[in-house]
Amino acid sequence: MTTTPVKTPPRTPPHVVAYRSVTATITVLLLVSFGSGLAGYGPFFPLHSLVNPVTHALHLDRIQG
Amino acid sequence: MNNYHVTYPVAILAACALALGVVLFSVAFVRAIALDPDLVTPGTDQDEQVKAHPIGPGEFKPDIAWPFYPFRQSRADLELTRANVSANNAALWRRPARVFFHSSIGWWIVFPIPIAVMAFLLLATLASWFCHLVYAIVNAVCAWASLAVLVPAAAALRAAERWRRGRQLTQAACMQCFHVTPWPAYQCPTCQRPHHDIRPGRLGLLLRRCQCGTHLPTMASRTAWRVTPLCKRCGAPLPKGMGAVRDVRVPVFGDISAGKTRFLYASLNSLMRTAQRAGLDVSFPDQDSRDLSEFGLSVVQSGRETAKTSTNTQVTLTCRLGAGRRSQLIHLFDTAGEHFRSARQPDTLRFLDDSHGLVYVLDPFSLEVIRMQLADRDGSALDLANAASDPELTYDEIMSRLRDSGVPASTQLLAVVVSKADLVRSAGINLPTGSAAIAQWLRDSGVHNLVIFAPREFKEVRFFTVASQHEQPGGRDDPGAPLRWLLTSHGVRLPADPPDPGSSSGRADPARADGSGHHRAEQVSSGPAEAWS
Repeated sequence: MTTTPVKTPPRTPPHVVAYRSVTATITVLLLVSFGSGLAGYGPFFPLHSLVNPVTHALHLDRIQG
Repeated sequence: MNNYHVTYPVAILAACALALGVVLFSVAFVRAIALDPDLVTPGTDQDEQVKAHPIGPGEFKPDIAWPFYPFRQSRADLELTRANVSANNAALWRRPARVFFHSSIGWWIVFPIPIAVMAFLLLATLASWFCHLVYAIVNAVCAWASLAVLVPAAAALRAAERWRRGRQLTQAACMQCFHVTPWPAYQCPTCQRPHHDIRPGRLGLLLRRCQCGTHLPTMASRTAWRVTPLCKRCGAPLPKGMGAVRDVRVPVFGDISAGKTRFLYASLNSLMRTAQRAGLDVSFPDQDSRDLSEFGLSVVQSGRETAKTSTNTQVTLTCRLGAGRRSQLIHLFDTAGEHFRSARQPDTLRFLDDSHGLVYVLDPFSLEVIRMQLADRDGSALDLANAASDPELTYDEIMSRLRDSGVPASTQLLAVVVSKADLVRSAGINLPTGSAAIAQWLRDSGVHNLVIFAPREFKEVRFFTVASQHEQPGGRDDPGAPLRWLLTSHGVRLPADPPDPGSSSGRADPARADGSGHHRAEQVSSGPAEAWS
């Protein structure tokens, strides 16, 4: 009975892991910032003003309700 | 619009759509960089490089090592993320598209619902692509920022290495095939794979990672001391430090029985004694050189006669002057005189093409004038001398070879060595000392062409007389003088020249650095003729 050798995939080098971690972290931070800005919090506040008509209406609704 | 029952659900749905878009992107992103990544392996990268820049004759494939992330892997990650986001959106839209546009026209009866669903999905899709856009910008900015640092740094390091190579003459010469390259290949100590171009670049700035995972330092000045250097042509292992230390090659040529091998060992013996006196290490990096030097030096020191070099062997001897990073490698070449009579053979005399300085050994007993004088006086000296034939024939053959090979002799130094000087003197013939005087004596003895044309063809020519028997370093016929002149002219740091044994003070005479045997005042007064340049 012969066994075929299993070819193990190469391990991801540490520098690739490090670069990916950095780019992923920056992306996540930026997206969270965008999300916060959209909701009215965080550093991207101008985004909030873009959606201001909707949030303002919600605000008025809340007051009226 | 100000109706709470409308705007609030709309806002919630919009938030859910945005969240769905973020989830779509997150799933694609995590799959692309963690769960199922497209890892660009060194083999793949090499194939792509070869395809993009096909290798020419004499060139090597790019080395198999992991490329820097910004050079290749970042693009692969970005492409895979884009493909995954695209696939996720396609999966999201597959069923609604079939329902609304292909199979069931009935859904349009409940008109606002399809529009609401599509708006929801459209918002989710836009959100996922927006996330991808953010990642693409981050990826690109990180890559550009890295390249903005790496590329100039690599260029600066390469320039520094180039400057160091030029300043220290750190070439790599193989003693097996005589191939000379600016730097050798270096063998990975783990997988034994050769790395042909270890310079800083896309595979690493200060370190590179071999395919097997082993870290290798970039730049020959660092790599040469940690891994085994290899000849790029034949793959033979080279001495440690090759590519990082000064490498000087000195071939010895001359006719049959001119005394080439004797001179080679005698000059080495003199050099070793000088170095030993100054406390400088002299070692032989390979076993062949150790064996050859041991045998040759014992012959010279014991005063025995040197056996004729076989036509099947070539004496290639490497010695290391000094130790460690400040050491210098010196290669001496010798072969049987028969080869110089048909010097246009392509490979036998390959070592002549990449030399730094040549030593032409001229047998004084081959000169007609000397033979006639000896015939009148003492025939026994002539018998002892085992004379060679016309000295200018071999010189002409070698010059023809150099010209045919395109080797610029005008950049090289030539030491013309009149061998067997002790025998000539013992026969009662007075030999002059000093380069100019020896040249004049040779001209008077009928060697016109060599004396006249050699200074025109070479950068600098000096004439020496050397003894065939053991001679004190610094003596009149010191065989080490030509070698010392050639080595110091190429920047080899040697100890101060040996003091004249006849001098009572025992202080080294700087005027003897060229081995001419002249005092400084005489050198200055003799003018340009002394240097023969």
